[in-house]
Amino acid sequence: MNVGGSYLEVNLLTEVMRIKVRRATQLLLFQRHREPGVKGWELKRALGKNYLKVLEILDSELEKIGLQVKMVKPKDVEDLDKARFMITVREPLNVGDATSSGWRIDEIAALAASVAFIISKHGKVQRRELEELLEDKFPKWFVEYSISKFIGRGYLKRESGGVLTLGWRAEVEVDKKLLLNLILRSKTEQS
Amino acid sequence: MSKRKRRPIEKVRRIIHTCRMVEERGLNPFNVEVREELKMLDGQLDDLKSYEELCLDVEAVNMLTKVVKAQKDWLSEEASVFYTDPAFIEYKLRKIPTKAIVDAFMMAWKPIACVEEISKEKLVEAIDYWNRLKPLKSRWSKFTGGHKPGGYIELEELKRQGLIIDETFYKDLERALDELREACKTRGSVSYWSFISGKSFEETVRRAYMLSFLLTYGYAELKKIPLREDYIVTPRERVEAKTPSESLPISIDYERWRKLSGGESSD
Repeated sequence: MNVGGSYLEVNLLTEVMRIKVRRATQLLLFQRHREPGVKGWELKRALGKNYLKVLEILDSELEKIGLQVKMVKPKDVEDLDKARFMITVREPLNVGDATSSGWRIDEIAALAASVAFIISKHGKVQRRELEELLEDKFPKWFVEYSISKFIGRGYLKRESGGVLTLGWRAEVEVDKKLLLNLILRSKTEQS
Repeated sequence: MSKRKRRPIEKVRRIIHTCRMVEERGLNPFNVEVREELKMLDGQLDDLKSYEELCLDVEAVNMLTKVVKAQKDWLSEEASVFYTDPAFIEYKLRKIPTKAIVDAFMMAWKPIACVEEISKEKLVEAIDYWNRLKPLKSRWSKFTGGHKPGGYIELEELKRQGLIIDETFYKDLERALDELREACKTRGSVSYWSFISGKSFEETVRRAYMLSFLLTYGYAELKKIPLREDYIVTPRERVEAKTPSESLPISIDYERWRKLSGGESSD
């Protein structure tokens, strides 16, 4: 009888966890706010105190289809309730995937250069400086259009005094260290 | 003599300005010689006499502590994104082919996955809402008492409702200026919050509104009180602005007004 009871309990627990994982997937995948992702406190309210365990299980499930759960903490904040959780792709995409989802190759290049340039300048640049860099390779109208698009999509953030910083999306989606490393290792056009 | 007196405070202002540039523009915080600046501030402390000068000195010290924090952040940033000369990265960005930049970015970019579709539950909720929603005509009639044909409104009525202004606005403005002059009779100036604070919240907002026009037209001057969320307002003869004017938003909310008026409320 005991064996049967504990078997039922385990089954029940598994079922509860399965429901929570399903709920977590819905919460994380369906865009609820203007910015994607869900705050830790929202997940705690929806999934209970052990929401991190639920996310761990969800992450291992998502691994099978090339996705992952990612957590982004605000600067200088340790409280997980204030962190933002979202689902991102696990492996890098190829250029074809990006272009088929609406990105032009020159836009990706401008975005890459903008992000790398801002990282190299310790996270803050004057918009004029960035424009000057991009205008080296792209026409002025394209540069202005692209910077506005990157700001709108959350890759760049407009600060006071004409300063640009990295936006929340760049912080989430771009591996900054890897990007700089790869750019430094790239061969220049002359060589 | 006056020149000698002015010098120490100018140094303090220079420190505040430099620190602010570091904070706002992201300049290299190590360009500020914090130790030297602190020594200098310490050395000239006896030369600072007025309350305002001492406040500026405190503000300078406060700004220097922020620079020290920025130096710490700068170092940890360099440690996390292994330090490379920005000029070298800029050189590489200008020289490498566009395709190489794209390839590098694609390796480092993992976009967010999200579904921009309506879920089944939300769809059911939406249909239910639609079914319960009354036609626009009946909803509007609830507030307006049915559809009324268009008509004319008298000029006096518009003035009464405050939709248009007439000469009374300028009279009010003159009255506000007189009040300001009266308030500044003894000390020459008055605190912004104490001047605008009125018996009711509406009155406070109205006084702030009138004062904003006096400032815009150059009949009064506004100076920030260092380290406090307050300003000094001084009346003056009208001055034509030679430089482009700046906007200064100051928000007034009900809670703040209640604090100013000592916890009383109008309701």
